[in-house]
Amino acid sequence: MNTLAITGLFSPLGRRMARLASNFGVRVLGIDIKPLTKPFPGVEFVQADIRNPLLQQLFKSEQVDTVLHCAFRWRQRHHEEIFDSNVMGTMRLLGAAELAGVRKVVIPSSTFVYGADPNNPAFLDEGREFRGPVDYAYVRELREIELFVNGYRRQQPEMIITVLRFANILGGGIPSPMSRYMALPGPPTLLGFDPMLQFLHHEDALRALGHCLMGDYNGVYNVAAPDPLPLLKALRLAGLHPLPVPHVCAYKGTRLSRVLSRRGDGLPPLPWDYLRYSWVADTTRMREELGFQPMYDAETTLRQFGETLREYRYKHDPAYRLAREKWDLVRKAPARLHDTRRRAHAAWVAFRQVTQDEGGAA
Amino acid sequence: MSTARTQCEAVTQAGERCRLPARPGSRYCHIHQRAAAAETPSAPVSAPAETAPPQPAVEPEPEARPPLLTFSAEEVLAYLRDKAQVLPEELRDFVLKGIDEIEESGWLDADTWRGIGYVLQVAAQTQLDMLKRRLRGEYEVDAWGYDPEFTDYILPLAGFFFNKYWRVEMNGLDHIPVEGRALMVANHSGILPLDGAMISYGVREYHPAHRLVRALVADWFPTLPFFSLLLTRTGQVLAHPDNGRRLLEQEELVLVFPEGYKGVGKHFRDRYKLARFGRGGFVRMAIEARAPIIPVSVVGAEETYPLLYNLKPLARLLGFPYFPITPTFPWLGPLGLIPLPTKWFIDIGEPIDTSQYDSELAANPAFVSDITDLVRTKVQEQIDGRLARRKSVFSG
Repeated sequence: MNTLAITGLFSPLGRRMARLASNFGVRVLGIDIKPLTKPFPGVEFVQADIRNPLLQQLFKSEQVDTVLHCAFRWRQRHHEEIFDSNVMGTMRLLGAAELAGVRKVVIPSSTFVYGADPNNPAFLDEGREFRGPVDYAYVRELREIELFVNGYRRQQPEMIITVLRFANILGGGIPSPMSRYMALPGPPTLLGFDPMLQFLHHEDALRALGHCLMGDYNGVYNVAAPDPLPLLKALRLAGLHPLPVPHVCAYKGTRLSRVLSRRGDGLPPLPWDYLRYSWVADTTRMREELGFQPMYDAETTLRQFGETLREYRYKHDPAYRLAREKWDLVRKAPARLHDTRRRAHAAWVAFRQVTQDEGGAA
Repeated sequence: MSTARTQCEAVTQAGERCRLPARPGSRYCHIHQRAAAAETPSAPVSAPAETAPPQPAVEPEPEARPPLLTFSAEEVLAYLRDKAQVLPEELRDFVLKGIDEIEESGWLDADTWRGIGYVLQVAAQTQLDMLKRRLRGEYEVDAWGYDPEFTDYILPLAGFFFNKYWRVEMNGLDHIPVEGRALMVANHSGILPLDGAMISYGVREYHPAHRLVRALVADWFPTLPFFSLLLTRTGQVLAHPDNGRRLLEQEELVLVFPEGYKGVGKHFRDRYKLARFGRGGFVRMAIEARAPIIPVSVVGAEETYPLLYNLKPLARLLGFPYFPITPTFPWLGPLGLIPLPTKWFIDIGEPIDTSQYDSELAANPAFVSDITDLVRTKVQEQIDGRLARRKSVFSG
């Protein structure tokens, strides 16, 4: 690998991959639409939109041979601008990469593309068709990107395009719908539903991307921790207390908030269907063809994430901090009470001794 | 102020010295003070404390306190036996006999009650510990959603229906292999899929290997709250060819109901007439996985909910696959969901070996239909044979 171009340098995934790659002695060319605010050591920065036609000249003049495409903006609701940047941007990037003679493109995606559907079998492999509604913009955009990439791979067999479908990434400040859902106060769950979910430690996500940058793997791969977990168990492991909501209320409430709110804020971070119907992405190809094995299992990931979440809240949320301090007072109350009682008893014994001595003297 | 108090100097009716402390400024306690005052009115009732000679404090002995109960259970019984002598003869014998029984039964023994209390406490503690552990997320669920601990917990409920309510008679359990893949094919009946639960319970409890039966359930159930959870946590899986194939490759024992909704939403007059066995997907599954097909017939389940009419428009409105009208449902509301206590027979037939067939034949529709019909005939024969031997719906 001569030069690695990372689009979306300031996305958490892009930033950390750039630092990692430059530490490994790779020449890194960082591209982002936002300007550089503080120096990024080991990275040559170019401020550009990925839809810019000059990208092709840039890749050619800088002799880029590998592109890591992290410029994806996660939005719940459809925005023409963001759709254009996510989907059309990926198309133009692939076109520019092909014309500039780039050898390999790595695209992180998500297992959200499969869609939650009651008719899904329990295990979904990479060849499974996408199902279910696309009322969430990121699901729709990821699907569009994947379908385009699939077609493009057939046209350009000599170009290596690796698509990694990550399960819910937790920790490391990497934004995923699942981490934002779990940060909600008392994460709402659907009463009487407890689907199987998969998780991935943030370091494993970085390792998987690094693994694909080092080797040549042309294809689509699911990447997830080896142990799928039920939602409620996952929340409990993270130390969260789920708030069960009847599913009818949840769906109707979302529809109502969708009508009432102008922006996408009224929607929960991930579609309710993903908390209702159970399916699991099959990771056989990850193990056998990609030769990649996650370091962390889902239980460890969730415990660590819960710890991080509590620390973060304690630092940044005054209400949470106050509540936790009060709770600590209450929790330690029995010990304190016991202590007080002991001291009072000691004082009473001393008092009695003194008074008895006085009585004796009298 | 002196805290030292003296003991009462009076003598009680029992002839012992009174144990109560004397009132301040008096030689007697609050009981004997009045009596003493009545005897000797000239005695100083309220002498000033300063003039009273300082008496040494008498330390009360620990065992000197009166016991809370001054009689034992045996004494009460002896007292009752004594008093029973005044009763008329018949009644007296009856009472004495009752007293003897009480004494023999051990209910009076404090250790009996202590033991009962201890057992209850341990049981409650175990349950509480399990709940606490589960609330911390420390329990195991496999990738299909099967939770062994939860299944063991609700097993007694299934056991009640199996042994007491429907008195299920299970024959031919030895046709199920002790290990390795197999596909059980059963007739579907009753409005709720209770037959699957009974087959699973019977195999789990009475098969020598106590195997877990993975039933493939219809696609309507995953959309229902609680029900979907109950099914997946007890090891059932959505009916999808991929799921079935995968389970068989994992050497599991799979149960299918090829009739599907047609079997469950059957009219009462069509009972024990098998509906079409789907499109033969289960045969394809078995041939590809080279798993033996075991025909299973369930007799008795058809009469648990006699379906008189299937109200299809309402079913379509509610999104149900069928809306049953039975003699009790929906007239009695939720009470109408109580199944009738019929006698059930589950017959497990001889396995059909599929390893002799070439796996390429699985793609041939004519061949698949032939095997489907063969299995269907076997199940129907088993049902007819059992029906001919059955004398009564409720007592077998």
